[in-house]
Amino acid sequence: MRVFLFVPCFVDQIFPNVAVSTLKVLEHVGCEVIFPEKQTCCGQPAYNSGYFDEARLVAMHEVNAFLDYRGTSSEKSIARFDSERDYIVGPSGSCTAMMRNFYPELLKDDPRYEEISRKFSSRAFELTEFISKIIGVDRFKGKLNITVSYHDSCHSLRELKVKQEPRNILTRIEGLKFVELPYTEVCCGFGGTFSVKFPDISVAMAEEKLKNFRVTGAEVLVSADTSCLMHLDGWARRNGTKARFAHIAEIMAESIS
Amino acid sequence: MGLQSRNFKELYKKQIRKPTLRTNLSKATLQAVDSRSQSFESIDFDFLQNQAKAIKEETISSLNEYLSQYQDAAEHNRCKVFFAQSAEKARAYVLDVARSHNVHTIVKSKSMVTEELDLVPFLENYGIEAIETDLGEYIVQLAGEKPSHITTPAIHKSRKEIAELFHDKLGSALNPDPPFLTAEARRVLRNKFLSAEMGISGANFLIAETGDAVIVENEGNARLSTSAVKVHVIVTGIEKIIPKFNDLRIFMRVLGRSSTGQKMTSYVSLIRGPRSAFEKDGPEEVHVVLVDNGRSSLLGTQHQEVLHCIRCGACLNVCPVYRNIGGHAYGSVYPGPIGSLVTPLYFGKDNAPDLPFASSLCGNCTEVCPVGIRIHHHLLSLRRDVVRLKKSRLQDFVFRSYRKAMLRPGRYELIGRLGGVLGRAGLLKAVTKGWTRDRELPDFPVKSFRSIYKTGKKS
Repeated sequence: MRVFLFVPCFVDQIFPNVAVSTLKVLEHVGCEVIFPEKQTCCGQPAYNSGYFDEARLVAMHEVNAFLDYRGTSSEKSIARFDSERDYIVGPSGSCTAMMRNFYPELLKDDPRYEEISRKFSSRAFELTEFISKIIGVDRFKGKLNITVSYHDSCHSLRELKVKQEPRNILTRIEGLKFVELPYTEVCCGFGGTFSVKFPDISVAMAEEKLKNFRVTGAEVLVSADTSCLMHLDGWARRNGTKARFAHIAEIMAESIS
Repeated sequence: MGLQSRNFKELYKKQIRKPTLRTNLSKATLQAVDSRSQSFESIDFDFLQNQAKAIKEETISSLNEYLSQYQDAAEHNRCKVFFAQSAEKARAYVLDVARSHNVHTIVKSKSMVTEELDLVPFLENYGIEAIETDLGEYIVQLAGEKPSHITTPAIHKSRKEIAELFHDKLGSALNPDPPFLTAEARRVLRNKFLSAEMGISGANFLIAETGDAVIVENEGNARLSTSAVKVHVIVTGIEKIIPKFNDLRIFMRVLGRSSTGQKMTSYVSLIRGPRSAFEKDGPEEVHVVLVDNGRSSLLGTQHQEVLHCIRCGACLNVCPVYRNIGGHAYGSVYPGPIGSLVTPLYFGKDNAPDLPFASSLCGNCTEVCPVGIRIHHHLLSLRRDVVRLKKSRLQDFVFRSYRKAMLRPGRYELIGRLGGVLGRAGLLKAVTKGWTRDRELPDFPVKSFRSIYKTGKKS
């Protein structure tokens, strides 16, 4: 199985370990992984702020970065993206939702991109749903003594309809204790530019989320979206709350090392 | 009071600082969310949502035809139907009716459209007393406030606060027990029901086929204020039409469940017209005021489906933003996710430029909407409209720069690395105040993933 790794811009620049872990997990389950280096951002920051024209250009760039990829000289095979066979996989429910659900809407007026975005969009997967639906969860084996709880990111849950997949993966890890988070489906308050436009509302939501997390007694709050975690971690550190926040790819990678 | 949505930023800051507000709202909305989920357990929500959506789609796409069908049927039933293009015209008509019957006291049951029209203060300016008879509405009227929720107007108040209000205004004993408070309200309202000459109500549905007005409620006050009076005036929006009597069976199943988690509300009244020669009671006249007030401007636009709304309030209850700031923060009688659509779309985008942004786009509103309005998608496209309407040089610059960086991978990496250097030196705090006032920035790594990947490949 060949995977074209998608790495969200802020994961690439601020949370590289999440991407390194994703790469490791994908290779662990037997994928050949290619990282098309022209990729930058999915366009969501502009899209969610109402800057549709900017978002459209960035989205087109991103589509091209994958579809027009021809491989680097160091790659043995000609790594050309085949939309019948290859997958685009990334460690983010939110950016995947942008590519799968919002690209077709955003690019619909462009004659060339309608079909391409459809081909592209239907091949884009969030990491845990890719492993569950395409690879098969039994290909993944891990061992880690840890107690975790899980926060459903809104885009994973409501745009991609991913709910059981991360739970199935986590509970397969030997030694891992899973505690369900009360009100796990309630938004953490990040919401992209919402978090800086209305910071008081955003952190009030973070406060609620962490109150619920404390009830679980778990050591780590896991999620499939780094953006939620960055927001919650930022609030927790400011308020002296001791908790670890980890992307599910990081927990998976730790469990196989 | 008028529309205050332009001041959303000041209003929400005031609300979010109120110590008891978030507690009151969390308790009430989370309970409503739980009841809602339970009530849909034994029934196929997706099926009903599809049915309800299809009926509404059909109605709204041929709204003029259905409105004239309704008018014919209602007039045949001896109702007087008046189309009010604007709020002024609607208010003037109601005043006219009241004056022509020499009305001094009006009993009012719950209606968001009358709130939209500011009808009660308007009538009071003309010396006509209009008493809210829904308990929640009565509470906010006593407090001199506006409702903060579409279906539960006093949701922002705790029992204790209501007891204090009744103590102040009615001289009641300080007792926060709900049965006691209800009895106190009933004691006052009973006399008003007996003396009122006119009743005003809203309508949840108007049936084009039969001319019926359908009113759904739990307290019996709507039935009383529409039947124990000489004149009954129904004030409602033009979008409340449904084509057939039979369509009600779908809406009756979703409305109560979505609002309060009830399989069926305590009362459902179907009002066909004034008292007939064979009937002992009921009003002698029934008027129906069909309010447009901006609604028809949505027809034929991409936002047309916002007119599907049946005002159940489910999107408010699930909304984490609403839960933290309450309805008054929105500066409009229509708060919450649906309010952030209705307010700019009915009353002008420039009057509510912040509302489409007042959402984390979590999509919970869309998930629970019984008529399938893609609320958060509409919020998104309204954001685009607002950005075009209300130019911000700083924001334009930010997103132009963003675009330029993202179209050039080299430049993107350079900016990212520069950001990392500044971040590690603690120099980003000044430009990220919106973030750092209440949160720490993440630790900035020395290498990006792409540089790690490149190095790994070479080795």
